[in-house]
Amino acid sequence: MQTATLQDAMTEKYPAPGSSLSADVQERFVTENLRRIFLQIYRIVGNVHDAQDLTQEAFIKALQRQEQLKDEQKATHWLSRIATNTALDFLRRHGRVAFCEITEAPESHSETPEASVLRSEQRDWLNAGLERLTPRERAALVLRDVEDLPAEEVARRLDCSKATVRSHIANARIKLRKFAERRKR
Amino acid sequence: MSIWNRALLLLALGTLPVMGQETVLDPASSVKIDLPENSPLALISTNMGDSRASNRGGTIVLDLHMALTLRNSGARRVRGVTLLITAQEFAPGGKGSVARPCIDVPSGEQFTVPVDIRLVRPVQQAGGPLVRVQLDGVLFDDLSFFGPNRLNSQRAMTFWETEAQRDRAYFKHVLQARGDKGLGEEMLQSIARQAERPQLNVALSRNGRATGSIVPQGVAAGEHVAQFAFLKLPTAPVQPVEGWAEIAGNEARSPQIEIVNQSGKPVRYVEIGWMVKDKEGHEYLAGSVPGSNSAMLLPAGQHSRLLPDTTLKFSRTGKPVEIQGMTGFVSQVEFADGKVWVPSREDLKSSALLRIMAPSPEEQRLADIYSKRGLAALVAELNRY
Amino acid sequence: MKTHPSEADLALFAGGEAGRLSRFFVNRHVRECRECMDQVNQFELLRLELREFEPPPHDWNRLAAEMRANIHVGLEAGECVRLAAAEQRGWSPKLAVALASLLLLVGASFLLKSPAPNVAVEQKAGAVLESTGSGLELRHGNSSLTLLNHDGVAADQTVSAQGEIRARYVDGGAVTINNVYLE
Repeated sequence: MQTATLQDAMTEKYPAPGSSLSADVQERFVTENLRRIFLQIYRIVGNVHDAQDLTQEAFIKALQRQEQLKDEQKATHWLSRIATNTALDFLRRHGRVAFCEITEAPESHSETPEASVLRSEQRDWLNAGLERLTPRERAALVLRDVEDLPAEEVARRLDCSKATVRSHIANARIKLRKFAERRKR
Repeated sequence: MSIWNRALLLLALGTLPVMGQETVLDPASSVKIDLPENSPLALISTNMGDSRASNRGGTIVLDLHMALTLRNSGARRVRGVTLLITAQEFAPGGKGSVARPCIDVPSGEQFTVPVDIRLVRPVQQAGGPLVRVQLDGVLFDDLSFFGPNRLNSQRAMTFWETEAQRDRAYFKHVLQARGDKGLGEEMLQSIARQAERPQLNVALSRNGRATGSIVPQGVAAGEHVAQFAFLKLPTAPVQPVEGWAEIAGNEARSPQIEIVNQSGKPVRYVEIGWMVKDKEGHEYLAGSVPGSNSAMLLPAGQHSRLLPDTTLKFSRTGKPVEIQGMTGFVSQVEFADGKVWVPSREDLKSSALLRIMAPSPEEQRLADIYSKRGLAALVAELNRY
Repeated sequence: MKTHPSEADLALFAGGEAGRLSRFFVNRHVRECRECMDQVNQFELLRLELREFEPPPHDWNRLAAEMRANIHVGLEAGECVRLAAAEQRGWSPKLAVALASLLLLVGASFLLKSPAPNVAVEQKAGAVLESTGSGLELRHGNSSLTLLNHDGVAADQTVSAQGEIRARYVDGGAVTINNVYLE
């Protein structure tokens, strides 16, 4: 794609400050980022209902600051950062999150019943282990090990130093490992 | 700062250098959480989050961002809890409280109380933890109470719970009478009211000039004495009779109000809501004035005077608001037997107070659920009670 | 006696976050220490398991449609609040039109908090307690210190003649009320 066309596309996608986003552009922003943000938040809070509420909240916050959305890449990072902070605030205010599964789920035809049970058990114990972490430890671990972000980026998202992030990650892994050991006994 | 105080500071804050540095608070040594032995709440965990202490001149500034997870280890459902947070008790900024009203925690369940507060404490204060967290009170679903009640949290939480029952009943009635759509409309109107509610800046001071006479004496130059108008709510057990205040520009001093107990039982607490009107005729809620001290007991049928020792100064967007009129109304009454009265929804609607007063914590909570989780979640929440 | 690296060093080594020097020493140690190598392997295994961390099976299309609808309504509600705030500042917004269109929407709206009023509480000694949009401030002369420090904007603030200021915060279906006392 030629530079002029790319720039035109980006301007059309996220117009310059001073002009508000059209409904189409807003809809595209939401559609392109919805699943990713939902998963990011779910992994931090561990609960689908809460992840749904917080995802909505994150998008509303982001779309109310439309001047931040003019650059596509920055908009994506900006949205991710809002999502992380929204999830962290939630965890801090509500302490341990009660996990409840969605009761209406479509039948999965892609795996055997045994595999489905195993996956469900694994998810349950991971959730239980992650519950034992502080909000920031959990967020640091999810951003590093699940989202695969470099430590510098994790530090930026959590608004702390790289040393602090390393400390959070180390503590989180140690706690999770000890939890896994106790579970096996 | 003397060498001894510097040593104390270092002892309290670890290896913190003297000026302008922060240290993360260690929960084990910095915070003491005191729950009574027979407390119906048990402490499960303390998350210190980003809580920090920093030295600013002769004070330690404690920046608390904690979350306490508690378990209801009693038999009854918990409807509210108030915690007293203390760094020191003899100067402003040393004490605060955090209340969690409008909760519904069954026996055996856990809940979290976030503590986001900043307190100050002099460096010279030696020994002990930097912060003490104490239980001031727990309110149960039958409106019984446990706790030392130093902050009168029993009264506050009982009022909030009574308002909560009133508002839940109202919204459930709307749901029954007008269905989901009606409930949604009502919620949106509540949200719009909250957004449009006119806000006023109020400065409050103690002045000790109350004279004891219902009509103020010796008004200073530039002041005039104004008589209160009163909004009488038909169901209020206590009614205002007459009142005066000294007015000077945007200041109202030494308000004096006579009330009469029209109920059949003694009253121990009355709160008066204040409205002011500016030159353009706009009305604002100025604040809430407790009209009694802990020793008040007003027998049935008797009159009494409320003499709050205050000066109120009003402004809006940085400009003084010149007072053209003041209106008072009885907003809360507590009887000697512990039962409380709050205005009904009809009282609020018919008197236009719904537009001016803040909604109850429960109404705000329900509006928040509706805003963030939708109508189905709101209906489910209403049906829980 | 062989000195083992700390558990934290092993955890960071497993994820690749260890500093260069630490990486060198841990790498050299684990080649000869079965116990530490096992720990590193356990950390690495946990990382792999975490990558598989997904929500339970759910109807994504329905969930996404709900979220999109709620986001749309939340933005409309925010516009309603913005217009209400503008009207209070003496502008001429289309509040009635916005409100009417809001009432027609089906679904969730989003509560945005009004800016907190400034409330000042004066003390005989000259200290002033004032609540602002970012919290409750203690002022003395030119110095000030924020006391009530909250991430959100207070949904309501009230002054009591007893010498306290109360700020109410609503978040996630829960209410927290903070008080600061003068006496």
